[in-house]
Amino acid sequence: MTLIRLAEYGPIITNKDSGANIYKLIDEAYQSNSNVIIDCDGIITMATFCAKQIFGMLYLRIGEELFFQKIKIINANPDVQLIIKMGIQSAIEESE
Amino acid sequence: MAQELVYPKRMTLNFALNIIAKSEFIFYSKNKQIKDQVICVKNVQEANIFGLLIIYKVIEFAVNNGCFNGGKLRYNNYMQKMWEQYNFFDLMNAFFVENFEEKNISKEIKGLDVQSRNNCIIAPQPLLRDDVYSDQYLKTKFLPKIREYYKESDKAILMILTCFSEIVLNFWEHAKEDNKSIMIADGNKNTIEIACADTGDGIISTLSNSFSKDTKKEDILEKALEKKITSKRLTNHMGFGLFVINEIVKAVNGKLALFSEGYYYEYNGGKIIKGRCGYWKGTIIYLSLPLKTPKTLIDLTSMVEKNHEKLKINFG
Repeated sequence: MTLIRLAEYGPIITNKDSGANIYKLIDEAYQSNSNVIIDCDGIITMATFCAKQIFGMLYLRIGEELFFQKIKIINANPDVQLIIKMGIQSAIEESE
Repeated sequence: MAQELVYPKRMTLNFALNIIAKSEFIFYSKNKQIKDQVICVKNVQEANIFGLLIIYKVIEFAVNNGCFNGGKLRYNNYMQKMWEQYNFFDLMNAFFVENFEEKNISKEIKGLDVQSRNNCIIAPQPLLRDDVYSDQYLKTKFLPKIREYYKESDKAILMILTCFSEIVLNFWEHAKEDNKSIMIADGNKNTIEIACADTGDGIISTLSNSFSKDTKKEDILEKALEKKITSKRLTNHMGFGLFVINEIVKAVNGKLALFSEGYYYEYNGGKIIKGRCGYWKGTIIYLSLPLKTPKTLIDLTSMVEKNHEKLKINFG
């Protein structure tokens, strides 16, 4: 299991570079056959762009089932949860 | 021959059309090297972050694009006090020194700081491209001080930062020609204003191709506020940034104004006004958020889609 704390990128995630770094961290952890826990403690909000960049792209890349089984997101406040859903939904719609 | 660019008495949003009309000539003066141009704000009797930001961007654009060859800034005591209050005075004067150097402007921008008193907070956020300073400043100064000032309401902080995140990201991603701007937040316990002006690619240019040829340019700014409108399809851009801001503004009965490339849109207390205005290269965004009953994304039904329920996400 790999724990990735997003706090160091916070309290708001609002640029492309941070999003790219976070995606890379999660992807590398997943690729090493690890279950990944993403700790959103300390993240107040993120730009919708970053939500799609990180979570939307990951959802598409590994697929719905593996995303659910292997990626756990903890301590995300309700707004961050909603932004993540928005990012994933946007990625799905564009891929269809 | 130089004309004196004389700004009006009121440099606030209510007089935006006049201010932008005055300013537009600089965008037609690129590389003209107009000798001894005078920028005059000595008649100003009232200004807020909107007016202050416009003056800064006008001068910054003019200096960086060879509009002037020598020039002066004429100001009165009121404007000096305003610039001092916002920590802008040295920055403004730095453009008019004899041995002007662009690096001194970045240095002055880095000298800006958040000022927080009981009755108000003035929070500039430098937007210096290709410089880690902006991000460090955001994390060490801007965000902590905003959070401290509004600590009585987590909801207000979340609302402010949600809008802020989208404005900042829009600047980084859509105003790529502009490498040196400032966003300002100015507030008290009841209201916060946020303004950002860039001289990059404006919304009108970047979004025109996203709509049918029949779409009137004066409708583009309003359409830009709709969900899923983006100039960068099939990328990480979702087209939600301005939509999020607009929905929050409507929910709290705030104000939102956009000015871009000769067109404007204003939402104020349920009323929408839009139309033609003076040319501004790039985009100006201004919002005012009442803080008594803040709203965030989870309060807005327009954010939630039926499909969200189908998503399989483990929110442990």
